[in-house]
Parts: sequence; C-alpha cells; structure tokens
Amino acid sequence: MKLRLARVEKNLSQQQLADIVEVSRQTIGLVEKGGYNPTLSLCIKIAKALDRTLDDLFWEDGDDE
Amino acid sequence: MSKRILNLDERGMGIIRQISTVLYVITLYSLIAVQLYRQFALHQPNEEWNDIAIIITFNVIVWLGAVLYLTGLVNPRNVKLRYLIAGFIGFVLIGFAFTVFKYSVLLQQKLVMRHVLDYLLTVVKISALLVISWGLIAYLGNLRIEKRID
Repeated sequence: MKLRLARVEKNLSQQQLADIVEVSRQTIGLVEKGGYNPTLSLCIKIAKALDRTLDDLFWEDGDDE
Repeated sequence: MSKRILNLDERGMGIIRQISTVLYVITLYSLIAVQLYRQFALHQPNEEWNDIAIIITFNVIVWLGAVLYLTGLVNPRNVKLRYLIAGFIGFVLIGFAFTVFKYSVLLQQKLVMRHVLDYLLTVVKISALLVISWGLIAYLGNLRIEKRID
C-alpha cells in the first residue's frame, strides 16, 4: 500500500516504474499487493526511483501489520 | 510502454529456477526408475542401461559436490573426525547392503564368501573416495566463502 501511494504521488504508472527499475509490470503489481518479496537490490532501485527510503516503502509499523 | 518482448526479471528467473529444480528431480527419479526397471525387471545386459547409470551417478556426485563447494554448507571447524568415520561407515553399510541385496535377491545369484569380500572391498574403496572427495570439496568451498567475506 505504501509503495502504491508513493508511486501515485510520483505520478508514475506501474509500467513506467517497471521500466525505470527494469522489471515487468506484473512484478511491480505483485510487490504492491504483497504477492512477491523483491530482492534487496530491487527494493533499493524502487526506493531510488520514487525518491524514498527503504523504511518509507517497506518497513511495516505495528499499525500496518 | 516497454518494448521488450520477454518480461524476464528477477521474479521470472526465480520461477524458472523453481520449475527447473522440480523438473530436474522428476527427470532424475525417472532415470533411476528406468535404469532399475531395465536392469532388474527386464534383465537387460549392461550395455542397455550402463549409459543411464553413468548419467545418474555423474549427476548425483556433481550435484552434491557443487552444493558443498558453492554454498560452503559444512563448517570445517565443527567437523570432528568421528563424524567423518561415521559417514564413511554409513556409506559402506548402505552400499554393501544394497550390493548384497542386488546380487542375492534381485539377480538371484548364489553368494560365496570370496565374492562377498570382493564386494565389500569395492564398496569400501568407493565410499572412501566419495567421503574424502566430498570432504575436501566442502573444505575448499568453505574456504572460498570465507575468503570472499574477508
């Protein structure tokens, strides 16, 4: 959910973000839905593409769990 | 819009690896079944199934060697001589039991003491070679990983 929000705030479609980080649109969709655990290197690429930190995108607070 | 034809990324590669692993296991078990069927059910001569046996043996030996070397799975500091001896004895017992079972039950040959001793000697040699080789590969694999960390 955090990833989707960050992507929308950055005005990027799933396909655009996928092209930037060199993965398929399906992979971005699955990461956003929690259906795929990305590698750390992909997490970093996504965070850089969205100008966020890993914590911003992937850290789950107690409230989120 | 991406112009790539293939959507091959880390997720795709992971799925391909999983599929390959499952199919590898299925293929290996199928080969073992085919070889045993030819050898013991159809009683075909060696030439008819030797190639399959060689492929199976090569695969198993290389697979375990590669796992030991590339993962650094075994920690040499915690390996004691008694573990190696226990592994060696285990190999000998299993190998010998299978050899005796093969000749006496599956091939229905009468076993004489001289043959039994010959089988035992062969099994001891092969087991020693495997345990020493795998042990050495495991040690080198662990050394390689440690060097990469340093």
